[in-house]
Parts: sequence; C-alpha cells; structure tokens
Amino acid sequence: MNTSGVLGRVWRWIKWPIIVLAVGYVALVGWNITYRLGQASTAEAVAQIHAQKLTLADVEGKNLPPVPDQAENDATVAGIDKNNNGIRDDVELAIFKKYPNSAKIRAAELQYAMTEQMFLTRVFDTGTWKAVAEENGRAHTCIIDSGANRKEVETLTFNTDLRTIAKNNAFEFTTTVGSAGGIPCDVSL
Amino acid sequence: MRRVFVILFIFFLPLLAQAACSANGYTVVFTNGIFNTKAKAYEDKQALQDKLGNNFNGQPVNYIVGYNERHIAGAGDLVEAVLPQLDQYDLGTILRQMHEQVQTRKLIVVGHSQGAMYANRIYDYLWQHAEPKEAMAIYGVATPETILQDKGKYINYEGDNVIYNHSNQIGGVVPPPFNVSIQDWWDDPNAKGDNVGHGFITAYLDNFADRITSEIKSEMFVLRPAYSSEAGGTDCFIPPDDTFGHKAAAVGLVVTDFYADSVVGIAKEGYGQAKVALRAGGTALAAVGNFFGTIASVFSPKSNTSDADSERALNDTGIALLNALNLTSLDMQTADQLQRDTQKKKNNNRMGGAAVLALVPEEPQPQGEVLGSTTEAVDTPTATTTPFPTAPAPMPAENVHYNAPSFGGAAAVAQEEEAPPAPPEEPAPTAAELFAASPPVISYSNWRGEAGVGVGTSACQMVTRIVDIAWSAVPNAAYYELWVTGMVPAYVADFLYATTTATTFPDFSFVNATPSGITPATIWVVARDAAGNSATTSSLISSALADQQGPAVVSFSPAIQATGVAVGSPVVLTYDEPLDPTTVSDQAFFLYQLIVMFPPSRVAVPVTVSLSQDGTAVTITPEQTLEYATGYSLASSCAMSDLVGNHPPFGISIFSNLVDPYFTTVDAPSSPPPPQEM
Repeated sequence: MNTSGVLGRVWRWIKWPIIVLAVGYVALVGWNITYRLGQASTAEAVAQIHAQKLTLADVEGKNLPPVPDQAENDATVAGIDKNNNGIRDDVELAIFKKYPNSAKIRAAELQYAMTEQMFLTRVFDTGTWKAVAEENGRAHTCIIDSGANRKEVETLTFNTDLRTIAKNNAFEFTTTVGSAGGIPCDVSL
Repeated sequence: MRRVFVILFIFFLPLLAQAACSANGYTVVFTNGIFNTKAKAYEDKQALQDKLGNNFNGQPVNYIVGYNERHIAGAGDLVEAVLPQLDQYDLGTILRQMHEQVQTRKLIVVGHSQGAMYANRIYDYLWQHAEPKEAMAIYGVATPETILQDKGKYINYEGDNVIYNHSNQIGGVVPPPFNVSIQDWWDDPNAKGDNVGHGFITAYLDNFADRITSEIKSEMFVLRPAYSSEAGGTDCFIPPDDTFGHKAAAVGLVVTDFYADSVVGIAKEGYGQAKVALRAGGTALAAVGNFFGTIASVFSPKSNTSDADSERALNDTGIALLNALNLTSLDMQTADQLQRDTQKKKNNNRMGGAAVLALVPEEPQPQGEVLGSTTEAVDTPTATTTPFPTAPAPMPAENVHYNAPSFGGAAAVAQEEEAPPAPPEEPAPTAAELFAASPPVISYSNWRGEAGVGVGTSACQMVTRIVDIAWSAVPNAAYYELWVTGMVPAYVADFLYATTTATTFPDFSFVNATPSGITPATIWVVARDAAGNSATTSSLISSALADQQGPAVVSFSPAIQATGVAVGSPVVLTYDEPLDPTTVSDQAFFLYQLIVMFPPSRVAVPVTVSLSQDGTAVTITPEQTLEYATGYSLASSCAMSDLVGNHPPFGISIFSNLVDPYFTTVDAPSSPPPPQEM
C-alpha cells in the first residue's frame, strides 16, 4: 500500500468530522458576530433611552401639539407624537388639561408618561426593557416626590387593547432592574 | 465607527458602573411568587414603593424590580414551588443581577408567596457573603414558609385560601401561623379582596398596607451595617460564581423555554382535553389528557387561542401532574379559581416566578423643610461634651454631664461640678470649646401616631410615632446625628437613626407603643465637626413629655353586659380625653346584632355617630330600631384618635366577638289581651 493510499483512507475517515467542526466553527463565529452587533445595537438604543429627558419647555407647554384624531392616534401602538418630545400627544394634552396650574405635578406626570410610552416603542430585548424600566423607576420616584398620580398616567398611556398587549409583550423581557441614578425629576420645580 | 465606540463602551461598562457600597440608605429585595405576570410583578413593586416612599430615616430609598425567569411557560415555577431545591439556578441568576443593583449595606428582602421562599434563600446567601445579619432582614407576605430571620416578620391573612388550604400540603412546606384573623377583615367596612385572598396588592396591600409598611419600616429601622464609613469597597456582596453548570443550565433553559413558549400559544386543545378528563374524574387522567393534548397541539397549526387559555392549560398541566404525583391536593377547580385572579385583566394572565426590588441610595439626603414654630414641652437641653459613640453604644443617662474633648479626639476627663473660674489671663476659648459650649437645643412639633391596620383584636396594636424635629444650629458643626433609644422592639438599645446636615428632621418615626404599654423613648441630637471624630454636645427630648396614651373609655352607656336595654337607646361612650373630631365618623364604630345560631354570626347595624362639644363623649345612634331580646356587640376603628394622634391600643374590640354581647335588649312587650266581650 503506497503512502497516498493510506492518506486517502485516513482522509476518508476524518473528512466529515473536520468538515463538521469547520462548519460549526464558522457558525459559531457568525453567531458571535451577530450577537456582538446585536449588543452594540442594544447599547445604542439604551444610550438613546437614557438620553431622552423632559425639558422645561415641555413642562411649560411651549410646544404643545394639536389635538390628535383619536381614531388615528389609537390605530397604532405608538400613536401620534407631533411635537416629537417622546410623549404621546393625547397623553400630553390630557395632563395639561388636568393640571393647568401645577407645573410640578405636570412635570412629574409628563416624565412618567414619557417612560411609559417607551415601554411601547423602545423595547425589543432585555437590555432595552431594563433601560426603560430604570428610567421609569426614576420617573416613579419623581411622581412620589411630587405628589403626582402615576395611575392616571398609566391609564392614559395604555388606553387600548393594542397597547396593553404591547406593554405585556415588552414585559416579557423583564429582568432584575433598579431605578436609574441621579436626580429623580428631569425638571425640578 | 460609532459601533466601535459602543462596543468599547460595553467592554468598559463594568468598570464605569462600579459605585461605593453605601452605609447610607436601604436596599429592599422583593420576590414575587408564582401566579403572577411579569407586568404584575413590576406593578407590585410600584405599589409597594407608593406605600413605602422614597425616603426612610432621612435616607434615600430606591427600588429595583427583578424577575427570575419563568421556565417551561410557567409550569416550571410550580415545580420550583414544590421542590425549592430546584430553584438554585434562578436564585443564582437573581443574586448575580442584584449584585449590579444593590449599593447599600442595609438590605431587606420582602417576599410574596413563593417569593418569600426566595427571600429566605437570598437572605441566607447574603448574610454569608456580605454584611452581618444585623444589616439585613426579611419580610414575608403570604408566606408559605417560615421566615428564617430570627425576628423576621410576616403577614399571613386567615382569608388567604392559597395559604390556608394548600401551602401546607405542597412538598411538605409548612407555613407559619396566620397572624391576621379573618375577623379583622370582616370588621373592616372598607375591606377589599380578590377571589382567593392571596394577591399581593388586591388581598394584602389594599387591606393591610399600614401594617405591612409599618412592619417593614420597623425592620428597616433597626438595620445596622457592620461599619458606617464608606470604606467598604464597591461590592455590597459577593455574587455567586457564574459556573459552567449555571451557563449550561442557561443554554438548556433557553431551548426548553423556547419550545414551551411555542407550546403555550397553541395549547387550547390540550386544555380542553384536560378539562374533559378532569370532569370525567381522576386527576391523573387529567394530567395524561392534558399532557398529550399539549404535546399534540405542538404539531397543530397555530390556533387563535388566547394566551389566557393556553397558559391555563400549562398551569393546569402542572397542577394535574402534581396531583397525580400526590405532591399536592390543589385541585383543578381551585387552580381555576387562583387563575381567575390573574385573568381579571385582559392579557394579564401569565404565571411567573420571582421578582426582586431593591432600594438604592445615591441621592443626597433630604434637607427637610423648616418646621412650624410650635414647640411643645421640651427638656432643658443638657450639654454633654464627650465624644458621642460613632457606633451604637450605651447611651448616657439623662442629665449626666460629660467633659468636652477638644477637637482631635482628646480623651474625656472627669469634670468637677463647679469648675473654678478661669483666670483672667486665660486665652480666649478655642473654636472647639465654643463648639462644645453650644448645644443643639432640640424641639419638636406635630407629634402624631399612626395606628396599625384595621379594627378588631389584632388592630391598633403597633403604633408608629411620628414627630417633626428641629434643633438650633451649632456653629462649626459639619453635621448632626440623630439617635434614639428605648423604642420597640426592646432589643434595640441605642440606634443611630440618621445623619444630616440640616437642622430639621421632619417625619422622625419610631415605634415605642404596643398593647403591653409605652416604652419611654429618647431622641438625641449630636453635633459633630468636619472631622466627624469628635462629638461636642447632645440634647434630648424625653418621650414622657408628650402625650402618648390613646383615648380610653371610662364609662359605657348602656353598661357592659347590661340587659333589658331599651331598643331605642343610643350607645354613649365617654373617653378620658377629647377625641380628634376629624377621626370620629359613622365608620369609626361598628354596632353588630349577634345572630345566635350555629355557626354564630352577626349583622352590622347602620349607625350615626356624633361627638360631644368637649370631644369626650361619643353617641352612637342606631339608624334602625334594635331587635328585642337580642345581643349586640360594638367595635371601634383604629382610625379614631385623640387630639395628638394617639389611637386606642385595642379600640374596644373586646365586644366584637360573635358570642358575647356588649348589651342585650329588652324582651318584647307581651301583647295586650284581647278585649273581653261584655
């Protein structure tokens, strides 16, 4: 038996294990790259969530949106946010209508509403849920400090079956989470 | 390029995220039980935070909610409930996740239902890997398992059907005795409830919030970290190792949960078969039917089954399997009842595992508002000029004088009562001496008490005292320490309540009253210089100076156990002190007609309650004529108080049982004989 014959026989035995290992390795590398990119994508979204803050102009109503068409607003989970401040227009206007004379309560409820809306629009994995929950925890602290009512904000935000379902879907990513650090209220009054 | 930065950020995040583990503030770990959705677990945390608030003892409180992953679409949680040793994976996960969040040395674990079992394990782990037991506590709500901590408190309500009927039959776990009687709940006209009396909010927080928060606070109140400085490093505890076994389990559960969640969406047929099988008789048959139905449904096209039905199927599967294995007597009907509680909200029916919440203090201490000018009787401030203990230590007795050390920690030296006058050539007093000579004069206002929960035999027992404190500023003082001694529980000797730079402290709360009596409490304010190692003076406020006694009834009309009472008679109670008219209402007293039958029961009689001009006499007038020859009992609410907020320790609930009447009405008059025909 010549050398090439032996090598050929050996190769025939080890060929498939090597191919399987190689394919597995490539698959793992591919998965790892995808995972890392996914992490980067999550980190970017998390950074955006933490960066979104209520402003004094929001509290003062300097850029109040027009009254939205309720049917159009309720047709989607996100609803309408014409002034692009992260607070759904119908919720924002309802808070202003209820508390025209209390900027402190308005500020707390608007901040809370912003984070509640994030549960509907920003959560796509555990990392983003955690970031939103951290901001929501901070806003909740502000709500308590300000004597505001979180329940009425929640009722306003999750006002349709579609949004309730979306909220529950977002909470499928629940994990251990604490309140975001720093001063509870974005706008201290 | 931006992604590169983001990836670098992720890589270095653990280094950036480290913060000091603080002696200031509290961490509470809350663990949710099964039969809860993830959203519900989060809501439970929100509700508890609403009740407990953001600050306690002048220290910030922040909340963390966590969750141990639901496994096998909820059925796994039932297995965990039966075999707690199988929950090590989730416990490890919770502890690792907590490790990122907990930033305080003082920590309390609050567990609800199955979560109380987690609470025990978390506590057991933490005290061995972090602070001593004195820095940690447990509080159990609807706990199926005895709380491990020596003095750990809990609330188990007799009307909790899950605990009452089943917990002692699951896996040999024996719950602690009920400590809230169903009588208390019945007595409360504002009582709320759910189908099974087990929900964290619907059964417990809605009805017993005062008691729960009071007891949690009383546990938080006595927590002491091993040391008070911030020099303890960044880690509040050592997390469990992320072992290969844990990672392997994680991978396995990812696969298992993926398939289980897929099953959940298409399990209607299985649920139906299980129900049919169950009704036909035999829980084992139900388990088999449910199991095969569920398996079969995996291969069926995705149906329009709602999550509610499908998850009921999975949970029914779990219950049925447990029944089949004789691990529990929880039947399908009761399981349905349990689930109805969680199905009240649409799409809110998923069962879950545990949740964690924590309080993390990173906020600055509240400075407090300026108090009102009302200053009630105050002890003459007693200058004490000795270093005050930096750690809990025996407090000096009242009016004992100590010598002043100079700044820098000089040892105290005995001082004569009358020191010789300083010679004229003596140099001007040093800053330290001036400091020592300026005691913070303490005053207080708005003394008030808060009763326990509800009414009845266990009501009004624990009274939390609340008072706003203020003191005069001491020049050069960097900060002040508030100490308290003599509070309940008795094993708490001296306690560093708070440290503040302000000269006011609103809502200073402590417990010093129980049904067995009042324990004199003393509050001390100690000023310290910037170095913090040299105390100067202390003042005190004696609790004996404030009215702490609740109002007591000194006379009853009708008299106790009176008989032959006219059916139109009102009840008049005379108290030994005026009552706060805002706390006296038609809902503050309960008049019951006793129904003598087996079992005995009673019916509330609507009453109108009025208070005399001087506030000492309460007149309770039935809004309907009382029955003849009938026993009546009476109870009062904890809400009623005297003018400074003291509640009657027991109310007058001794008359609230179902058998012994407070008074008995007169027999019905005999009807006149018919007129005789002439």
